[in-house]
Amino acid sequence: MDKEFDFDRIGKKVPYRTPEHFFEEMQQEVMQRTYGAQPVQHRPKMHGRHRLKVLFSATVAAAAMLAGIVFALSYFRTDNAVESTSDMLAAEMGGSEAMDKWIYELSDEELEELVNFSENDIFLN
Amino acid sequence: MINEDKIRQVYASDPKKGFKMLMDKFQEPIYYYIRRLVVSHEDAEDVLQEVFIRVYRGWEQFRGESSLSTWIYRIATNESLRLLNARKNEEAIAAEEVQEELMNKLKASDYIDYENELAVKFQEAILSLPEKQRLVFNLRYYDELEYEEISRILDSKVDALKVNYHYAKEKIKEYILNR
Repeated sequence: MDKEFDFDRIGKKVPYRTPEHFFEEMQQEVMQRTYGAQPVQHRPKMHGRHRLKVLFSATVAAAAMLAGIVFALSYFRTDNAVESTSDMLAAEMGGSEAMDKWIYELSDEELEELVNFSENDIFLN
Repeated sequence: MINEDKIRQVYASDPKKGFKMLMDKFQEPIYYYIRRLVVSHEDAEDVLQEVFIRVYRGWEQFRGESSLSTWIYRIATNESLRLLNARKNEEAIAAEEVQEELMNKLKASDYIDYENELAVKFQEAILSLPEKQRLVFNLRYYDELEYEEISRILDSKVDALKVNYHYAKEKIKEYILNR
């Protein structure tokens, strides 16, 4: 070994390596965990009228489900807990706005799933 | 070359795009900084992801009192040390044993170029340093940061850093020449 060690000889080299595509995949993972970005593989997106049709069907399906739940709750409610008609209406209206927002934020795949679910539901069809 | 002002500008109007630009700029230097501290690629990967997620979560609170670089290096330092200290606490082992574990990882780990013997030995020498000296040495030698910036990252006085760096170099030389 040399009597003197020269830092210039080694320079900035490090022996550390990374797997292929590491940084690209790492970024995808981070984006997924933060912005919930779609992975690289391309999924065909719905456009225009088809998306509108699915959105409408999903809204109808969700509204029907909500109505069903409200009906079931009011049916099983005791006398002491009966709310006034206006209170119930207010709750439903608040629920509808939240429902609209929720539906708007669904991805295309989630919308499809909801529509498919409603089409198979024996209470809705 | 992406600069910090550009990142902030884009982040303000399009956070997702700005965040991606930030990752593009910092992912490699921060990864290798972390890797030099934790050695294993898997650990470095975990820490790196955690760093960017903390950046994402902390962006609104980041007031720009320091540079982006200082902020991110600081997070990376804290997260790397958190990982190493967690091992120390979980396994109830001393700092020297953590050091030995890191040395062992260096000798038998994936994604290390063992053909470059001098580079491996150099990393061994760095790992043999006390923690503070190791941090200062890496930031100064590899990341080529100014002492003032290192001082903000490590919360240490510049004079102390210079002394630590000097001793680190001496110990590294001694390690390589005598082993």
